[in-house]
Amino acid sequence: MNIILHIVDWFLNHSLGQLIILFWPFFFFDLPRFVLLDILCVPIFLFQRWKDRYRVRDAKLALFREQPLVTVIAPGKNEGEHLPALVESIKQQTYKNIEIILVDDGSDDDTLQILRALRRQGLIDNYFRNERRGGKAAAANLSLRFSKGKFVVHLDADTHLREDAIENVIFPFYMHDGVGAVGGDVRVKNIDYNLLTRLQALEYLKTITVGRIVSSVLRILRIISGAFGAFRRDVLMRLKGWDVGPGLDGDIVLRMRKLRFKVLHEPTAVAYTSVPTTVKRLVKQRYRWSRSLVRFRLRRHRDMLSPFNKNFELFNALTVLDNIFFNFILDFKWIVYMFQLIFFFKMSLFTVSVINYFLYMFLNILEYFMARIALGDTFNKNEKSLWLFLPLMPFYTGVFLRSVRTFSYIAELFFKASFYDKWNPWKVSKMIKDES
Amino acid sequence: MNFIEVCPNCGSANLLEENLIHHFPCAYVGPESDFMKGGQLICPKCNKKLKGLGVDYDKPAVIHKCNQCGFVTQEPDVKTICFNCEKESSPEDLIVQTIKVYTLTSVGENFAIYGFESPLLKALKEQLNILPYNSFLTLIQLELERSKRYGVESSVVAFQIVNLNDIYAKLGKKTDRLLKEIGALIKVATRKSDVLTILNEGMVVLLLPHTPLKGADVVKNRIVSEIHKLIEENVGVKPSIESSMSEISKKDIKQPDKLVEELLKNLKQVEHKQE
Repeated sequence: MNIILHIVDWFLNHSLGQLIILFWPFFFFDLPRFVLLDILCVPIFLFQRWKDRYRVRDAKLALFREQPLVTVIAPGKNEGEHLPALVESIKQQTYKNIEIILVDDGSDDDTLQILRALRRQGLIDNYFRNERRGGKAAAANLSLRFSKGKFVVHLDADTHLREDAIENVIFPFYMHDGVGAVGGDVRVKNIDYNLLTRLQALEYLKTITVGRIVSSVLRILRIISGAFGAFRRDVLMRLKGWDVGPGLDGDIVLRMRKLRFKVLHEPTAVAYTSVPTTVKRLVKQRYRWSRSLVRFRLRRHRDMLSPFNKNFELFNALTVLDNIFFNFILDFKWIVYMFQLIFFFKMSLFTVSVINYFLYMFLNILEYFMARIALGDTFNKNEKSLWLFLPLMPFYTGVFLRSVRTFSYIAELFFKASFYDKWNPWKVSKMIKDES
Repeated sequence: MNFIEVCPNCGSANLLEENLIHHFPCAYVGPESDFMKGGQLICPKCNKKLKGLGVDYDKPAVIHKCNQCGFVTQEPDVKTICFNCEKESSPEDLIVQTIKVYTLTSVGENFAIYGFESPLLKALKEQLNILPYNSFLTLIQLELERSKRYGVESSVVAFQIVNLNDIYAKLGKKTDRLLKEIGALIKVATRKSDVLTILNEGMVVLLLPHTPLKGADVVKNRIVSEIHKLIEENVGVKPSIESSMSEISKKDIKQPDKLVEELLKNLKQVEHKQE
């Protein structure tokens, strides 16, 4: 009781201006970028959906009238055990004209046997195997080279789809002109595995489900998850497929946007993917993601920012700018903030931390309920009970993920660490590093 | 069994094998033909000339393109075709089985043609006193002793219809009647005191007691020419008959089986002379 009284007392002793200055990271950056934009954009999204309901229906009718062949590709290494579930979920789709091409990228388990069995049973149309690993981009390009569909859906091998996912990820191509790619919503499959997967599930709802609705409304969508995205095959062929990752998902979206194709997010197309179950593997995954930001946005696609570039387009520039500013530059604000607290507010460090905790928890609660409002009817039982874990989110995103991110930005910036990542085969990494 | 690779899509054996090339810097993967431009390997994605295998590209796998339906696969199905009956099947459906080949030995062949008992023996048995070989040898032993002690001159004659099989093949079951005729013929030509046995197939050995070689020659020639005539006239096959004889008295051979051996040896010689 004493502590609460103390905090309230402390609170009352400061003016509003003082408080805002004290909690500047929240009030100047996180509140407007996340809370205010969410409150603004989610209703806009819902309104658009309501307004477009007949156009959605017509687009679906057009899709089912044309019945284009959709190629589903899923490259992976040692993912054999997940494949039968993936194939099963594709067979259950409401949209039926689907060609499945799987790639086994140098597995050393029984993936090949599983692929053979699947083809013998007629469940998949074709498969390829690289005796030596070539990397994810190469595997995806291999399946693209031999795909026949009008659209190519890229899935992670450990993903499975809701039964209307393909239908919902393809119809936007029939609703708008000039759409190059549509991303689906990615949720967590193994939610009830442990605390870590539950926190990741909340994070995915926040960053993917709500985050991408917002960036789609603002037309600054910068990534389509590798786990679930649909592409027009002719556009992919024009781009000659994926480039070497990590971060190839975001890279191909930016390359499409440079060609002035629209990139949309379709939240009703839902895929469930397995997330890392141990801290070690999660950290590794996030290292990779964060590095790709530096590597692609900061290095490769810097040209999108320059107004003197003849290809300059405002929303493309905003996309990269938003990404760099909020994910990269602001990531370092907490170092400044920590210094500020330690040197100037040493006395009330505890109080400030507690208040910060509640502020960020409020932000998380808001985003979770935004996700519920926008897509509540697609939630399953596990996703509905996730709110119990919201109090842990500030620690997870604010402390854990932020540390990982900062560390990997520094590693990539100064040491080009991603070029040494085992995620790519050594032969590829070496080549790329020599080239750059 | 012939193993061939076929397209898993349409079953055609018209497959084109090609290497896949993975260009490391741009992650393009495609068949070698994508890269072939004017005899050089040039990446279709980034238009760079490929430097060297293992340096900036490798060949991760081999693909098979079906010229019939255009399907591309890495692992064509395997089909087997039987050399014998040309039946096509997949290797999974084949059952491994040991196939044994049996050939009839000459004994079995003989049995199949003539039955348990030699037809000659059967035919002669009915009319003549045929001794088992051992008893025949005992009698020869007896004659040997007698000729030594009393100076009796006896003879042994052997003859054989060499191409009896040909005759049998031609006449089949009717050969029995021919053989009966031969039996009757021998019966007429010999005395009651003469004994005979049959060796192997169709080899008749006669012991003519108290008959010098000269007399034995008459008997032998009579039998041989009669058989000759009989077969040639009735069957139309020219018989080849081998014969030989030896006198017991002049021989200083003590063992009867040695004597028979000598006889058979001479038989061969006779055969040689005839040729």
